[in-house]
Amino acid sequence: MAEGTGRAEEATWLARLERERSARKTAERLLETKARELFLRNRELAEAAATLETRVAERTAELQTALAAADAAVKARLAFLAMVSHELRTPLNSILGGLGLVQETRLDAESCRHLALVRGSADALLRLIDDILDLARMESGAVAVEPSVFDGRSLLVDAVESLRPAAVAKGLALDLRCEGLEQPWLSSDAGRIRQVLLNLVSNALKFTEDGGVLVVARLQSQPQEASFSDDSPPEAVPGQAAGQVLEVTVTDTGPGLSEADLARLFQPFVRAGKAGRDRLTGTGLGLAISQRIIETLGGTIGLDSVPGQGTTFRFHIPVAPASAPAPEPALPLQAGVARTGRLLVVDDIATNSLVAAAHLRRAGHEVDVATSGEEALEAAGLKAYDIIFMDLLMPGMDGLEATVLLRQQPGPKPRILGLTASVLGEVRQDCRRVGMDDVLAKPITGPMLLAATERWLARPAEPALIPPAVPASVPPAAPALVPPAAPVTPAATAPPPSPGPGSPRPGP
Amino acid sequence: MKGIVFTEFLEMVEETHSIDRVDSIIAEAAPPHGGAYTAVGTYPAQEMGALVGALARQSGTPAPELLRSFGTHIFGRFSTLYPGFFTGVTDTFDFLERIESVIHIEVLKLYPDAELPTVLAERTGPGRLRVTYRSPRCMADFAEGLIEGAAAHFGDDITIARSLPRGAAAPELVFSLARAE
Repeated sequence: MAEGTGRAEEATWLARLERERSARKTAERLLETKARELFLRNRELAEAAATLETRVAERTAELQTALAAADAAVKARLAFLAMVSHELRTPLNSILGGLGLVQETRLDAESCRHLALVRGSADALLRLIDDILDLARMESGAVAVEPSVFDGRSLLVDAVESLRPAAVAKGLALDLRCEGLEQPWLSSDAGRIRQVLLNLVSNALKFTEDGGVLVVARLQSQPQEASFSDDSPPEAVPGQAAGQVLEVTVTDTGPGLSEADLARLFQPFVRAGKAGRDRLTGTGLGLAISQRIIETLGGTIGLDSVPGQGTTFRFHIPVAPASAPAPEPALPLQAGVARTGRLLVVDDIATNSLVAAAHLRRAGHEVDVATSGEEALEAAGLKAYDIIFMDLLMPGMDGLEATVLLRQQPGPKPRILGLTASVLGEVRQDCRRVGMDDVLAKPITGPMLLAATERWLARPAEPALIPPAVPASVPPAAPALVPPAAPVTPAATAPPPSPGPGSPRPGP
Repeated sequence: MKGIVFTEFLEMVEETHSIDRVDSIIAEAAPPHGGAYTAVGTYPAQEMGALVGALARQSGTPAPELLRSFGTHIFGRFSTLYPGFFTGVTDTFDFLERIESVIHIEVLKLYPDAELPTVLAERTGPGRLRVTYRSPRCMADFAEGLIEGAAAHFGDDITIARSLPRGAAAPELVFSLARAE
């Protein structure tokens, strides 16, 4: 009996053992399945990650290629602009120079009138080229802000006064009021602010037949509420004193603008009035350029206009108050010494050399001419020149390379002033690096040449002029592009801020 | 139904009755695998019904009462096995509110094929919680036991009233919980 009970118990426990063993095996099988699923899932994820990384790398490469292509396109566009600038300005330089020479000769009244017409057309052509190139540069993002410390009041007065002859010719009043500019020193891009002022004021004069133009400038420590719906004072610009804003309004008593004109006013090549039936001239680029300049400077522009009553343009530009710059050390003028010198004009375009030499000779200077860098070196080896006017772009040895070699020659160091027909401003640093003293932007006018000559002859010679650092490779002289409003030295021959032929930037 | 429910049920029977009772209810229910349940497996819910039915018949305790007791028991086991679900939980209401939004989500991460009931908790007033329970397996007694287990775990004195909402689908039930003042 006991043995039977024992066997029964044993069988029960064996059954339980078998049940537990079966459960364990089931669990192990399930876990194996789960582990395999996890392994496969992990492998899929790893493959997906690898694929993703490959795709990211491919996409990154594509984007880099596209970026490089876009960059190359921008550079190509700028190079094209530089070439166009040079190619257009070079003959124009000859035309304007030749006209200047002819105008200085004895002419009868009729010839004078004809010549004035030609001169006016040449000036207009120059302004057109400048405007188109300026706008293209801005739209390429090639315009950098060039901040400097300047006298805001003087800038305003100079700009307005440069347009007074135009106002007087039309019998218009032209007034300027400055408020809050008792301490006039400011920091911003003076050249660009001047350009905007000239654009707006010359525009106002052009469209006004009766009455006049009033320019009001205010330096505001706190931005005032603007009266224009689409124009409000700009936010403070980082790095500048908070709330310092130069507000300028240009109010005319012209015909005003219609709603349709207002809507498209800042578009390039758009002028107020009906196309083709307007007797006014101009490309319609002035306002588009002004707007882009102001935006580049972190400012805003807007206008109010009442048809039949007039228009008020208003712009705000953030500026930083500045201390008056230290005066340049006074240059000892060589009193009693006749301000004539030995000059060398280097240019491969014969007309340019001819015109420049004629202007300089009339002023009593001794002038030689060379047509290449090689000839310039040879001439400088034979004669000690006071000033060498050096064209940058010449076949064979260009102006930069010639300057490097001239600076390596022993003996007296002549002043070397670069001449360039381009307006894109990268070459200025190259000029400075190779040792040029200044750069003059073509078209070179007689007054520009003479002023530069007088200025540099007045400076004492620098017998121990330190040779410039010569770059490992001389930068290409291709289109030497220097904005005329930004000379190498602040005191250099900046062209007058008028929209005339000496200043390529402004233009209505 | 997840295997852990079966293994915990059989362990409870072994503790509260005997290992022989475990053998006998398995023998009566006669699942195809011979009762070799594992916590990581998945089994038909009908097998649980057969086991509970067998235990009811053999012990003389009604099946609903057995299920409620099992619910209370398994809540205690859960708190031991899965302490992470209780982190930051302060009371019964808080826990019940997290079942759908936290606990079930975590369960589904481990067992994507788990068929979970829907447990929606809604505060209806101070000290009051309305819990709507939906499950095709109709284990309302088990759910009530779980709520009681939660109250015991958190030391809450809670009364539970069960009702069928009007117009509700058949497998839906409402537990109205009231905390004692």
